[in-house]
Amino acid sequence: MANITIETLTKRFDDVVAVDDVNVDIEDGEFIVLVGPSGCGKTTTLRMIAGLETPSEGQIQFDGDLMNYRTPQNRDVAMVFQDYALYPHMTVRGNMKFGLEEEPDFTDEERKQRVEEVAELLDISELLDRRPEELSGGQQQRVALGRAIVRDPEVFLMDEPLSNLDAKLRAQMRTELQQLQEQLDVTTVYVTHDQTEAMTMSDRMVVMNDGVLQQVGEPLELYHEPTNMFVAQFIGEPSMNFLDGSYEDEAFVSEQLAYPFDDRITDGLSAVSDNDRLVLGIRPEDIELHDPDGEPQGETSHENHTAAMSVTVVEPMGNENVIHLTFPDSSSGTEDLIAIADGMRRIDADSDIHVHIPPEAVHVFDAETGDALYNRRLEHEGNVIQI
Amino acid sequence: MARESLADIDVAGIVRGMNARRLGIYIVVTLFIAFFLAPLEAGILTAIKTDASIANTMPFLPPGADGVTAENIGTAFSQLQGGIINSLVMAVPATLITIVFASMAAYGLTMIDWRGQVGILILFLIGVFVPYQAVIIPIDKFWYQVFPLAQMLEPVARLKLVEPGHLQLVPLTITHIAYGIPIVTVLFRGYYQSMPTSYIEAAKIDGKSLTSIYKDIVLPLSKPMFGVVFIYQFTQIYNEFLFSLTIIKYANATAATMTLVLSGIGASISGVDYGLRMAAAFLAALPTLVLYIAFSEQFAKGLQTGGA
Repeated sequence: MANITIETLTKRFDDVVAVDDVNVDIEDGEFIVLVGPSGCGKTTTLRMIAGLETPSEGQIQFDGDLMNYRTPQNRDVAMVFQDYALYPHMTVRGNMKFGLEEEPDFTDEERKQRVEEVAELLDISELLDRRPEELSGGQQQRVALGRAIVRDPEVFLMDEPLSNLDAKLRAQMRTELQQLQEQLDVTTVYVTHDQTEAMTMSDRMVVMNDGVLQQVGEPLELYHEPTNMFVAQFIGEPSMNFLDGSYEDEAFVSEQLAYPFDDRITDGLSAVSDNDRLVLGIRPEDIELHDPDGEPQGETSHENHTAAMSVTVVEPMGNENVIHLTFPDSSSGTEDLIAIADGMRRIDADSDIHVHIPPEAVHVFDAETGDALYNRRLEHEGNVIQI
Repeated sequence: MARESLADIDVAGIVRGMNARRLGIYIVVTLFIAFFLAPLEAGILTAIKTDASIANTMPFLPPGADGVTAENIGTAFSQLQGGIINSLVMAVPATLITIVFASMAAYGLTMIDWRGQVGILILFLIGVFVPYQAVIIPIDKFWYQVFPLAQMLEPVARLKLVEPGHLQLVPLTITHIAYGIPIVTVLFRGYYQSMPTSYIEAAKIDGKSLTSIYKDIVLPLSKPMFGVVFIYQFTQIYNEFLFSLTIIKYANATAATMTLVLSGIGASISGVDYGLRMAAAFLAALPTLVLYIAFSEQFAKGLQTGGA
């Protein structure tokens, strides 16, 4: 077990900057997930921690020891690869024992025993004498995990280990992996492009884009208080809605919508002056949909933060419906907002609907830089904090 | 309308047309088979014919009942056996050593990063394209004047383990190894490039040294490629004539290889003994045929996975 310190880590491949000035402190026993779209530098970062790539600049330290020029062999890390990298000519037992042979503190008998123990833990004891090609994808995945666990390393590194599994198995393995990591209490760095995996598994997550670290934090922190538009749209499914407009007279004004800000929001926008370009962000799950001839809070008015829109597409998911909405006089013709409605509620395509955007749930971003100017409030152990 | 037009189609005509086409294909295929197999068939038949029968029948027609003889094969075998043994003694170690060295070289050139790699690789690639003719005279000078290895080894022959004449097989073997390594390295390189890099990386992270990675991972996974390369390289060396002629020089030398001996069999001032020559050619080809049959499955598998 070790804590990992990453300082001003940079990796250049010829002219391409794959990882640009990344700083992260990973605590002992922490489950950290590096997440971002493909090509964002997350895998390169992981490979630098493993020692498979040498950093161009910056430092990687385990417990204060500089790792930059240490070969992978001497770092005491274990890695689970995306393709599992199980050796086809060895049995499962052979695969699991292979890495253990280099650990000096074990006798041969202890090694055998250790393999049996880990196989027991992962419920793959009966597969020990089979070869990888005879196993299903899920079983291969377990063996790959077992090969890493057997070595009892300082750090676990995982490179999209679940991406080759089908959706159901992936969800199951997610929970299992998380429990396993908690049980073993080994510092784990996990790379994925799947924000659901990142959200559900991590103690803290690191969001990267174009080689640049965007934000580090606990999953809910990133969900509620994203530092910029990239994090805001990357976390959450479906993505956060963005409306382009400008700041006019303490309100957000776009072609179709005038949205007055209350005091809480305007306090946060002290640096913004009139006519500055803004982006209003609202998560689909926070949008409230009202029947046009229903309850009084459904009335369309600016003060009420409610607008009349029409439904273009309804995607039924069972537990919920994903509703695509457009403003009636929208010139673009594409949908302007996506909202989520309860699965039991009946909403028809092409119907008109009143859309309430609750002011306590909106985010405001700078249109130029994408930085968050105001985030919704999140209750933290009784204290109201605001970023 | 639609139904009527469907009924109008002449189904029987299509069937007939297809048959004519198929028939045409079969005829062409049969002609090709005959074209390729005729020399072989003529060779085998000539090998079992008596001299009289050879003179009286066409080469590709079977001999009459009184025109069959096993004498040619017997004579060819007794004349050729020494050469075949010499060739095997030279070709088997030469092939094995070439393959082991080349696979190591390919591992170093493909799976490990080091400075100057590209320069070395280019040398190997150049090595592939050096023509035989260009090296004949240097080889002769080298093994007879600069570094007369066979002569140097003569004290070993005094131990009575080998005849002194056989010592010339040693420089020949070394020449074949040196000449074979570049092409075999390139073949292995293609194979190793298709191997997932994660195997190597996983082993590195598991604490394995580069030697151990080669021994425990790369070598066992190269098995199909070993089959392919063994057949290829063994056939090359076994059938090779020019280096044998350059280094051993005479068909009647003790160390004469199969190809050298074969070149002299059945040819004399009194004329050419076709039956004997054909019989000898078949005996000479047998080891490579056996090899192909024995390794055919591995050969096909290796070609599939290796992209060689």
